[in-house]
Amino acid sequence: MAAKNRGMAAGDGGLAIENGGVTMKDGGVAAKHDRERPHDHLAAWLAVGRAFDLLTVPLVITALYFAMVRAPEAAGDTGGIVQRVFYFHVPFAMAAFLGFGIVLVASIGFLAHGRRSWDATAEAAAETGLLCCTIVLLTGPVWARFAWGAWWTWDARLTSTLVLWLIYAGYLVLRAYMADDARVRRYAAVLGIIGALNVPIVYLSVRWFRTQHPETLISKRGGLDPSMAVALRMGMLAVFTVFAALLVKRLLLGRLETRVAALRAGLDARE
Amino acid sequence: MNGLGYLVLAYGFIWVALAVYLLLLGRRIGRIGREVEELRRRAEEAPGPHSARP
Repeated sequence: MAAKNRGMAAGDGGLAIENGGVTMKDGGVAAKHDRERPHDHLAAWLAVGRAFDLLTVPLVITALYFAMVRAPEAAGDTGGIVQRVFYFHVPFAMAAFLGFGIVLVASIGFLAHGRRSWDATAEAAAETGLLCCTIVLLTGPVWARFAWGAWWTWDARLTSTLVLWLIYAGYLVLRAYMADDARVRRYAAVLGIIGALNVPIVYLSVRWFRTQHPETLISKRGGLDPSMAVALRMGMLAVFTVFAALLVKRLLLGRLETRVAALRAGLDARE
Repeated sequence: MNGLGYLVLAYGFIWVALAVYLLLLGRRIGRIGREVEELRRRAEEAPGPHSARP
């Protein structure tokens, strides 16, 4: 984070954050390039990011304590000791769904209003959601290998999750390797919406289809041991804080990249 | 591999994935920091709009 801090504090004569906008101070050159959004509240976002950073480590340690020590060991047919990965596996799945939900809202916002900030939010949420989805796809097979005797089965939950991952991997590849123009941003928004529509399919697949994956739906029926439920809630809190910390960093990076590109264009025009 | 081995492997994947992502994010932030430095240098070298020209 040192580089970011250095970059954002480089304003003692060159670039600075003033009232949330990046401003060039040298001779009043090219002040506030982004006419669309003159106030990005970068300093406020940085403070929010630091708050999440501070919360992350104690919450993760507490969640690990609950998962490894306080929660009872599950029955052998659900994975025995390996079931303890459940307290992070499920929260990361929920965080991925949240990320893709943000992509849906931001993509609709971008298509409706055409603002770059909506597009940047969708891209940041897709990247953070994909990271969480990757963790789900890495931890699930390890648990499955021990509980079911197979790393992977093509059942509905696993397959639909893999499809979700592939859609958002494609979304980020599209954004990374295509020209950054309005048409590509619109295509990406449409793909982001299509990907998010897959989330309810993933979530309800264990109810709609006969699957090997345990039915983990939020319902009033309960079924989880109270100490396991507490450990799961702690895992949720820790993972959602990690998700928020990463998302804020990624959003800041996106906004800085946009600002630096605008400043570069301004300087190029001046020279 | 016993159950504990699988558990360590699963949690290892979580921390490695997060560490790799943070590393990549850190590299991109470092690149932005270098670009800011470069822009700052260029802004200092370039003449201002109100500078006297011959």
